[in-house]
Amino acid sequence: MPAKDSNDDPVLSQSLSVPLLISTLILMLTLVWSLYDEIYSMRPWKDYQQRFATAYLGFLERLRPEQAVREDTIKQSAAYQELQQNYEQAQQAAQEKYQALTRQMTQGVLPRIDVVRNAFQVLKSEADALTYQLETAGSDSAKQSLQEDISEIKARVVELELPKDDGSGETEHVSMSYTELETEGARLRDLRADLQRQQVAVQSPVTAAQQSREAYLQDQLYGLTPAQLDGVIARTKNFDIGIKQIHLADIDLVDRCESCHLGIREPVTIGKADLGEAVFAGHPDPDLFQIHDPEQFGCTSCHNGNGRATRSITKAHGRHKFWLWPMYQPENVEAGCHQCHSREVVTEGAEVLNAGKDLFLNKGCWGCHRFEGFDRESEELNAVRQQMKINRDEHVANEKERRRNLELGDAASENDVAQGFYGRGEALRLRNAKLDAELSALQLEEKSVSREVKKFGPSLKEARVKLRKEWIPVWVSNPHEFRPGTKMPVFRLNEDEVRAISAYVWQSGIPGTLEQHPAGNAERGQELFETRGCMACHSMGEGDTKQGGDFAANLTRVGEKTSYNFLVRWIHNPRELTPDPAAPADEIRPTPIMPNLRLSFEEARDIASYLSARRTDAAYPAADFMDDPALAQEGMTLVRHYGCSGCHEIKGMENEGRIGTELTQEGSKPVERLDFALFTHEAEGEGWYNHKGFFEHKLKDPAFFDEGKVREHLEQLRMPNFHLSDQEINSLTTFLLGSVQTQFPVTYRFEPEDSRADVQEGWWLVQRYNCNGCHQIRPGDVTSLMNVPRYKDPEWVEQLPPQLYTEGARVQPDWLVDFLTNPALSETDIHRNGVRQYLQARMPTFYLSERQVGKLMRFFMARSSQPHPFIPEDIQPLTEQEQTLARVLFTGNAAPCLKCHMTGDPARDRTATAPNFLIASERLKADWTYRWMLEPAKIAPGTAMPSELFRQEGDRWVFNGNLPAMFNSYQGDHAQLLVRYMLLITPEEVRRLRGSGVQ
Amino acid sequence: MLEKTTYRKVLVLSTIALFVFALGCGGGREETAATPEEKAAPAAASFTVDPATAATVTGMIAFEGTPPKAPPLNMSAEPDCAKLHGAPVFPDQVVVNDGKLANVFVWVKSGLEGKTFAPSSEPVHLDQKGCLYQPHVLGIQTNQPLSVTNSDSFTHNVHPLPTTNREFNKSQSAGAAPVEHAFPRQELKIAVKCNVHPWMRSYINVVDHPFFAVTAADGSFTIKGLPPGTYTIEAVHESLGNKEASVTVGDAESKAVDFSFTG
Repeated sequence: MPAKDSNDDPVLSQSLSVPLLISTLILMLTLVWSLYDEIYSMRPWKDYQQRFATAYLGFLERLRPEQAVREDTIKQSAAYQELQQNYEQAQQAAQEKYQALTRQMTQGVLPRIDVVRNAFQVLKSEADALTYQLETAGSDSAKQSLQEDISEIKARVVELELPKDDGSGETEHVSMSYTELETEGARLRDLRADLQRQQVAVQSPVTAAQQSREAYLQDQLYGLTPAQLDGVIARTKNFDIGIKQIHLADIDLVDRCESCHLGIREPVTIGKADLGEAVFAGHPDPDLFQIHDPEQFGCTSCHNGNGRATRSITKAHGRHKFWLWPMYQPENVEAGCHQCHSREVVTEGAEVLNAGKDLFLNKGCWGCHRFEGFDRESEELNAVRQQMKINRDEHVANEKERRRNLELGDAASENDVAQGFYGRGEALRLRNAKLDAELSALQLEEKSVSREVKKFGPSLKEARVKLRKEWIPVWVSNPHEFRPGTKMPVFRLNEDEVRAISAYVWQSGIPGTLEQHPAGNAERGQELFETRGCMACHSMGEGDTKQGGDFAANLTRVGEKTSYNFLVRWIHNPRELTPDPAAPADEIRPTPIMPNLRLSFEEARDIASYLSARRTDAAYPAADFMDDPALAQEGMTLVRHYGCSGCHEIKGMENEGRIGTELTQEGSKPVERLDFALFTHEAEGEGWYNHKGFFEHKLKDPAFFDEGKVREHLEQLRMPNFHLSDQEINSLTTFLLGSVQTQFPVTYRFEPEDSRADVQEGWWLVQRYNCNGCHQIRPGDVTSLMNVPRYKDPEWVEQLPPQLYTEGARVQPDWLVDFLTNPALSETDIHRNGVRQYLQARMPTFYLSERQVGKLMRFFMARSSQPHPFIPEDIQPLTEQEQTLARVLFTGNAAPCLKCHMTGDPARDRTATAPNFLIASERLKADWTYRWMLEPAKIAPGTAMPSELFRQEGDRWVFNGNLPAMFNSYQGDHAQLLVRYMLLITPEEVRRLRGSGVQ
Repeated sequence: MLEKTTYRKVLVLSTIALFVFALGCGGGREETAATPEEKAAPAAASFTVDPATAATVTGMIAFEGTPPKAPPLNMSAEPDCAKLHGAPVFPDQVVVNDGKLANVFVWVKSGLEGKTFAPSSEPVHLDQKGCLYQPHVLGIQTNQPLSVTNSDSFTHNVHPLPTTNREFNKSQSAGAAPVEHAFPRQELKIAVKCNVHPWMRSYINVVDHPFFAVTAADGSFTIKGLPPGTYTIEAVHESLGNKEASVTVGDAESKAVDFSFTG
């Protein structure tokens, strides 16, 4: 081994300076990097803000000259010039007076006030000092002397050089005492106030002219004025880079979304492409901010996502597995509305959500899945019965307590103690009297509500009298094959199950007999079917030839399944049910939704004949097995298993519960509790391991999550397939995503107690009975009838049922109650419309309960913001002369009122095309009638009633046409005159009209 | 050896550090700014047809078969109207003279794409006379003024029922000023009705160029001033449907295009 050379000692022989230098450099670099990361990488929003400031400034500077040109064009317009001239004239007119007032103020009153105030202050402070000494002085003599000093000051007279108060600029020499100075001061202050008032009064026409000029400019110019834009530009130039956040302490919400979404609330409308990046776009619906101020609601409260996160888009939007509530996708964005709008079935502006709720209601989802608020009638009935029980229990307890008090009173040794017990006993008796009153009101309500209870599907108790026996197994095995798009879903049944269920359905039907009807005229029946309004709910034809509404069944093949005599009974009166001799006397049977169109038997037979012929020549195999009682017994178990009684009234299963899971808060269910079965990993990999993914897959194919599972047939997922379209799936998914347990306190939720609650409540009935099938209620509504080709024809367009946009403003509430109860407005002449007898389509009788009628009436009144209760305005009676004038105008050739409107004269009314004047006084509200006559198109677009029947002349409206000479001296409003005439019309006047040979 | 290893380690470490650093730098921006969309091109200038090259399309519309026999109009609801006509009035839905069809709207359906034509300021007239519209069918350019007059001694209302354009319904008493309107959007067969006299019917055809005509009583039509080119000509009848034909016209050429409808 060679001797160790000391030079080989690395400590001595080698320098580590290079590695150290490099390490130091790396350390330095790492430091720089970490600082960079800290300042920039972890704060990507800084970069966003810089980009936004630049792009926005550029955008504004492009916009400004465009707006300036627009503003200039408006300023050049004649209307603006006139306003400008008005302004200048007003200014000129006011100038002299205003200047005089200003002169008097600045040269006279104000300087004089100064001098007087100063002089007075000197004396007053001297006197005040002495007064203090007087109050604290010890001896009477000192007090005496101080008192004299004060009197001396108050008597002192000062010499002053005062400016005159008339504004002449001159001064005057005055001598004044303490008291005189005080009085003069007060007088001058009054004078100053008076002058200020005068200044304002003189200036007010100028201010008004200026305001109307500015208002015109604002009105004509869309968007911001150049001056306003300058403000925004200045603000953008000084853009302050920093976290923008909303903090709502009461719900512990911190939203920093606006750190990147910088244009979301800007006063300028920013489109997705305007700033080059969609992230800077303005909110697509800025009107929403009017009622949902972001400072009060934040962002994530509606949109979900992680409002605190600022490091990346993924984190902020919560689109990763560690954030439970990812931001809603654009197609589901309305899910966010439901948590606060959960009481509503129609939320203004949330059309996807509304569609989802409508599907949930009208595809019968609530038959299996409880969802708070959807089975309204049953829930209300339960609530009423619960209240009745509470009342009864209290009644019994009170009675017992009363007896005890009376006994204690009897046994008391002292009189006043006995009186106390008797008093309490008496109070309890009175309390029970009040409970009796409440109870009888509740009993009425119970009766009313129990009439409303409905099942979603048709009653299977009618199966025997209604259905063709062989058809039942065909239908049960695959209803969508027989009737594509039907609401009845396809169950996963095997052949044996189909046979057993069919047998049970058939054998559990009430055996009954139907009245036998002769055949009707099918051709006339078709015309009636297409014009009476059946197609508002029912459709006919399949695929491209389909016409009519989707609310009720498609009747293309109804002739194959339903017996003719049943159809006649059903069409004539859907409330006529086959009596069940075996049923308990107090049985409440669910009532059908189908209303009564008040058709004659002849019409019912015609329609039934037409419908019976709607059939194909499909062959139905014989089904003798359906009479096998043992098979029916098996079927009963299956009917229970598949939850058929959720939608159908089935004998022996009247009180079955629901078989599905409750969905009221399904959107809040932890995702682990949604059974992805064997798809968990796949879903995670493909990015749909979330609520949205689960709902969409489940709705598309309810059996999906059974795939790959080894299960007994009856243990498989039971949910049937509704064959929903992608759009329907999206609506329902939106609704379910939004069905969460809200974190918001009640103040955030839309649960009004005022008339807005009436609107919420009313929509449930509108949706339940498909009022929208015939009537437009919201602007933009398209009814089922409007889509039927016949009604697009110019001959037929005015046969559409009336629009109800302003129904509450139009009709009197009491009348509306009568009409909804009995749309024929007659007990005897029922085969007609009460108001529009010329319409082929008939307003049906819905057999609404008193409660429902009240709800609908309040709904319409609330939608039109009508005060409640309604107090009709006094209509000034017509003078003799006015009566004559009105009659002449009404019946003359110039005003064609009677060419279209009914008058109750049967011969004439045959060709009428507008409602009866005779019922106007009980039906219409005067102010609405007036507005209607002036501009009907504003109230009902497309109406047959023409506009411009009147023209404005000064403050009044006069008839726009040739008038008889007798009108020359009449100075009143012609439209008002006609309103008064119509609303005060008497039977005598009507006879007189007819007598005068009115056409 | 130590030396080499150290250097290598340092090298590797620093490379990694630089790499990561570079990544860190590069990853700062997650989205690249898209270029702002180009501004929409300003509305194209109106096209002017050179009169020297302008072509003409003429034609005749024939009707084969028996014209449907409609019952006379029932004017009993307005006796004043009935009085104006000595004989019963028949609806002018299918008007056939000598096998030729009147009241057919003929227009250039396609071939003019990309060209815009300034609307004529000349108003098109529609008159109400004897409880009938005159003419029964008319063509009008988009934004060209329509002037509706009332020559009767009683009140009518003018109520077009468009589906694309905006609807209106105005009362017009005898001797009142004309109802003026312009339709901003192309739309064929806008029915016009009078709610007071339900039998009155007229059809307005709104087209975004001036190349259209309505057949006269003898079934003839002429479309003048067309720029040379290939066009689809369509004949539109209110109840008999539509027919199409293709035509190519050269400079100052005149060609005939005939149509035939069957009843």
